[in-house]
Amino acid sequence: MTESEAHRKGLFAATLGALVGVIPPFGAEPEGATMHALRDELARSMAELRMDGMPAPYFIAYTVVDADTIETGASFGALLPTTESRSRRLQVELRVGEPAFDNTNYRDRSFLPTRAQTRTLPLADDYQEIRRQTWLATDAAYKQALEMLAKKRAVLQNETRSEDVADFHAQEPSSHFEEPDTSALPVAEVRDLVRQASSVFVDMPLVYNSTVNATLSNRHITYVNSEGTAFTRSDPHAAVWVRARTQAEDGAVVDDFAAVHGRHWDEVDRDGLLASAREVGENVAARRAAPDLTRYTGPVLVTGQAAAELFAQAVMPRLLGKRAPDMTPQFRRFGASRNPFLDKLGGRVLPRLLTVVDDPTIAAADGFLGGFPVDDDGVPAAPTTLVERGILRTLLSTRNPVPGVDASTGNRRGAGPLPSNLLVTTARGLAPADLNEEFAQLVAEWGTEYGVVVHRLGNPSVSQDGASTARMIVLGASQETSVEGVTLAYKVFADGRRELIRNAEFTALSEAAFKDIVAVSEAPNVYTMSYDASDFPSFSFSGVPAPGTPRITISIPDLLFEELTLRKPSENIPRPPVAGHPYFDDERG
Amino acid sequence: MLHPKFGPPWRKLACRVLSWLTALLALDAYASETPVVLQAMQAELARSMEALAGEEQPPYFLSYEITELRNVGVSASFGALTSSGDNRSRGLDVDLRVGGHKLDNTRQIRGARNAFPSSLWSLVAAPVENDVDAIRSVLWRETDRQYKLAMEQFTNVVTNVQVKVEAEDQAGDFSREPGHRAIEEAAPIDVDRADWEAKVARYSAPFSAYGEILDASARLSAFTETRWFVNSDGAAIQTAETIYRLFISASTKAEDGMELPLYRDYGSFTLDGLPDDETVAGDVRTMIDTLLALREAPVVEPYTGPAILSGTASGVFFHEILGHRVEGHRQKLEDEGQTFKKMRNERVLPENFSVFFDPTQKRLASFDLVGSYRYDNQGVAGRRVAVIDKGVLKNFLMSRMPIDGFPNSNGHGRKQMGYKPVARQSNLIVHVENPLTSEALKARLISAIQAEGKPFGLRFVEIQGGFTITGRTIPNSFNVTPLLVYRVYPDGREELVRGVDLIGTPLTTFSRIVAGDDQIAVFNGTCGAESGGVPVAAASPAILVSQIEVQKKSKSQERPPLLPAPIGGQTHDRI
Repeated sequence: MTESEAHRKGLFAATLGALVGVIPPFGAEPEGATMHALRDELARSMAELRMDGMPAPYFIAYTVVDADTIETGASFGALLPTTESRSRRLQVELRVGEPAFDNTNYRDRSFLPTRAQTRTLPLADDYQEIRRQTWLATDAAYKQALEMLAKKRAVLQNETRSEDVADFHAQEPSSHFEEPDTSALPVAEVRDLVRQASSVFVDMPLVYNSTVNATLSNRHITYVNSEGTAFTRSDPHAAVWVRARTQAEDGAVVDDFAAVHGRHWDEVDRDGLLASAREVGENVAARRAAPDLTRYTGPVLVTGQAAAELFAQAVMPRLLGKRAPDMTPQFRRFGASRNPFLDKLGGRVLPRLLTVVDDPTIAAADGFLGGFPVDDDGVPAAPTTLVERGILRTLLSTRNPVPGVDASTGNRRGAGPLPSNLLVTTARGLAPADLNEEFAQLVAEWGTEYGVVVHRLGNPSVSQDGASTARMIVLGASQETSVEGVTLAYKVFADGRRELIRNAEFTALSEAAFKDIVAVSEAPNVYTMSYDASDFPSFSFSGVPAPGTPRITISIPDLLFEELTLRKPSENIPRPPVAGHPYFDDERG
Repeated sequence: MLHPKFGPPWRKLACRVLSWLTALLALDAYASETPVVLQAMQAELARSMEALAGEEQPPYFLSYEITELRNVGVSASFGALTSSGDNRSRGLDVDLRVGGHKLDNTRQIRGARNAFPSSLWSLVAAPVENDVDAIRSVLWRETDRQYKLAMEQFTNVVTNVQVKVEAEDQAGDFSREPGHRAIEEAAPIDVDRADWEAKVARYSAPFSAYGEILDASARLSAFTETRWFVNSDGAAIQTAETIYRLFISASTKAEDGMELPLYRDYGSFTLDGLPDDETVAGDVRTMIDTLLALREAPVVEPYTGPAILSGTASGVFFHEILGHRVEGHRQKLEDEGQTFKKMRNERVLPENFSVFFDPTQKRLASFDLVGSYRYDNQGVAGRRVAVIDKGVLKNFLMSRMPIDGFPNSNGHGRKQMGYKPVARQSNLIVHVENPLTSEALKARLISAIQAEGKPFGLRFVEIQGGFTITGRTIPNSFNVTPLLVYRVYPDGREELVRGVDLIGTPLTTFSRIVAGDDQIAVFNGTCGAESGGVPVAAASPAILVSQIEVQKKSKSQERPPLLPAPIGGQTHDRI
C-alpha cells in the first residue's frame, strides 16, 4: 500500500473491535522431517545432556528459519545486481540455572550479545542431517550456557542487584501450524517493475541520483521448545523503496524516499509505486530551489507520513521493554542506558486525548502488515493497551521480564520485543478544517510570522549515503532520541499562503515533547515501515532494510504540537558537482 | 625534500588536450568493435577530463575499472544440499590522481595512524545491464566524489612531505606506462546446476557415516570475472576469466579439543579440468581415513631440525616468506620491514634455485595456474619476472608505484573489486636445476637427522595456508599452518603427528634451504592482503631445509560433543 493511499484511511478507535481476532485457522502439526528431527533431538538433549557436576538445561528451544529471498534494484532505468538466496538456519536457545537466575541477560567484556548458536541446515527435509546439526548446535549452546552462568554468578557475587528481576517468565504451552508457501519468487517480474519505476527519473534532469530497490522473502519458521510449545509460521514479505537525491545550486543535499509494502509480491501496488517514484522525484526537484528554514520555535502541525515516522523514531523505542543485561562493572558504562519509560509506568507520557494499542491480530487484508498469529517465543498474539488516555500502562515485552513488566505481551520479534500494528487513537479528533483552524489560532497566539506544517520525514533504516546506517549502528545500543531530517514541510502564513522549505531538522526533540500535543485529527494515517531495533541491525549494502526485517504498521492521527524547534541542517554544505549530469548535459540535454 | 612541481598552467593544459585528441581520434576507428561498457567508460572519461581541466588543480590521471562477478555455487554437507545459487554483480573502481607522477594524492602520509589518504575499500555498485546512460551516471557521480577526495588528500600529502624528514625512497608516486587496447573473448560459465547439486551431495555423503567427523562439505564454485578498464593514457581493455573450483573440507576434533581439518581443493579453467567422480571418491576415502588417524596421532612438542616440505607445502612456504617480501611497495613504505630492499644482486638461495612469477603462464605440467592474467588491474600487461635467478635476488614485483631503481610496472598491480591496487603475486614458480629424486631427497633428510643426532625429522605433506608479517613494529616472521605432518625416523619409518605450526624468520630460513626434488606440485588459492583477495598459484618441487622450527598450534579448549552422534535415528559413533 502506498503512503498516499494509506493516508487518511479511516480507522477509528471505535471500530477497532471489528478488526481484531482475524487469526488464520490452526492446522495440524506437519509431518515434516524438520519438526520430527527437532523434537527427537530436543527430547534426547533434555533427558541426557549434562556435564558431571554441572546443571542440566532447564529449557531448550529450536527455531528453524527457512528463507527464500531476492534483493534487486535499478538506477536510471538499468538493473543493479540481483541477489537470490535460499537458506535454512537453526538457532538454539538453551537455558541452565533456573528461571529466576539463569545464563541469559549477561553480557561479557566483548560488548556483543551472547553469541547465538546457529547452524546451517540442509535445504531439503533430511531427518538425519537435521538431527546431526541440531545435536552439534545444542552441544555448543550447552557449554556456552554453563560458562555464561558461571561468569554471571562471579560478577554478581560481590554485588546486590538494585532490581531483582527474573530472567525468564513462565508461559503456557501453545501450538499453531501453518503450511509453508512453496511458490517461487517472481524474479523477472520484480526486475521489470524496479526497472520501470527507475525509468521515471530519466525524465527528471534535476534529480542527480535515484535508486529503486526491491526485497522479497518467503520465510517459514519452525519452532519447538521443551515446554511443549510448537509452531510453524509463514512470514512472506515484499517491499520496494524509491530513493532520490540531488544537490541545490549551493550544493545543499536534498533527498526523499518512499516505500511500498505488501505481504506477497502481487499485493505490491504497481501504479502506486510509479506514482510514489514521481512524487519523490518532484519533491526533490521542487525543494532544490526552495529556501532552508533558518530557525523556528512555535506551533508545528505534523501530518501523514511524518506523524508516523516521528512517533516511531521518538516514542516507539521507549515502548519496548528491553532488558539491560548484567555486565562486569568496568564495562557497564558502555551498555545501554535505562529506558526512562520503565520509571513512568502508571504516569502520563502522552496527552490525555491519545491511547496507544499494539494489535498483532489485525488482518493484513486491511493494510496492516505488522501482525502475526504467534510471536517468536510461540506466545499467542493478543492486543496490548500500552498507553490509555495518556497514561503508560505497560511496555511491549517478551518472556524476558523487565522491572514492572513480568509477563510476555507476545511481542518477541527477533532478539527482543517489537510492536506489530501500533494504533494511536483518539476519541477527540478534529475534522481537517477544525484542525487547521486550531493550528492557525495557535500560530496567532504565539505571534510568529508563520507556522510550520511537516508532511514527510526521513527514515533511519533507509540510507541515502550510508551515513544513516552507520549512525543506527552506533546508536543501536543507546537510548538517545534521534530523528531524521524533514523531507517535506511548508511555512504556513496567516493568509493561508504556503512556502516550501528545502531542508530542516528537529532539535532538542524528546518523547517529552509529545505531552505538548494540543490537538489531533479524527482520521488516522496508516503507514508501514521496516524496523530493526536490535543492538546490531542487519547491514545491507543496498542501503535499504534487509529482506525479512520486521515491519510495523502505525495508525496515527495528524499531531498538532504547541511547541517544537526546527532549524536548517547542522551539517556543512558540500560543493556542487563540477561537471553536469552526463545524460542531461550531453547533446540530448 | 620533495616539493610538488607545477608547470605553467598553459603548458599543462596543452599537453592534456593533445593527448586526449590523440586518444579520441584513435577511438573513432575502434568504436565499432568496442564493447558497450567500454564505450560508455571511454566517453565519460573523456568528458570528465575535459570538465575537470578547467579546475585550478585538474587531475593528471583518471582510470575506470568495472568488474563483473558471476558466481554459480552449489554446496552440500554430509550428503545434503545446503545452498545453490547463481549471482551476478558489477562494481566500479575509480583511480583519480591530482598532482603529478612525481608526487600525487596517493602518497603515503608518514607518521599518521591511517597511513593511506584514502580508505582501502569502498564498493560502488554499477548497473548489470549494458545501458550507456545508466553506466555513465554512476561514473559521473563517482568521478566527482573521487576528485573532491583527491583534492583533500593532496593538500595533506603536500604538507606531510614538507613537515617530515626526507623520504628514504626518492622514486615518484606513479609510473608512466603505455595505454594498451585489448578485447578478450567473454568466458561464459558452463555448469549444469542440477547435475552438480547431485554431485556435491554424493561427494560429501561418505563422511556422514562417522560420528567423529563434525563438519564435512563439498562445494563447486564457477566464478567468472569480467573486467573493463579505461584510463587517460588511452588504455581500453576487456578481460574475462572463469575459474572452476571444487572444494571438499572435513574436520574432526581430538579428545584434547584440537580441531583437525583437512581439505581437497581442485581448481581449473575448465569444468572438464576438475577430477572425475572416481578420483574424488578416492580422495574422500583418504580424507576420512586420515581424519580418523589424526584424532589418534601424537602431538609434537616444539622442535628444531631438518625437514622436507612437499611441493604444495613448499609453494605456500615460498609464497609467504619470499613472495610477500618482493612486492614492490613493501620496499618503499616507511613502516615496512623492507627485508630485501638492499639485497639486490646478493645470493639468497642455493645456486641451483630460481624463482620467477609468471602471470602469462596458464598451465604447468598437468596443472592450471589460477594466478594468470593478461593485464593487471592498472591496465599493464602481465610479465614474467625473474625474482631470483640462480640463487641471486634480481627483481621485484611492481605495480605502477615506482621504487628506487624500478621506475616501471611489470604488470603485478592487482586487487579485488573495491580495493586500491598494489603489487601482488601471480604464479610463483620455483625451479631447481639438477634436482634430486624424491627418494634421494628423503635419503638426504635421513642423513641430516643422523648427522645432527636428532631423534627424528619432519615431513610436511599438506598445508592449509599461512600468514607473514612484513612490517617493522612486530618481528618480521612467518607462520605456515600444516594439515598433515609426519615424523621421519632415522630408520626411514614415518609416523603421522599433529599440533604444530611451521614458524621462522625469512632470511635465516632461506639460508637453510638445501635441495629440491624433481616432482613439481601446484597450490592454487586466494591470497588476501591490503588490496583484497586475488587468485594466485605457487608451484614448487619438494625441498629439504636443514633446520626448521615448529611451535605448538593454538587449539580450541572446547571438549568434543558430550552426547554421541544421532546417526541413523539412533545414537552411536559409527554405522
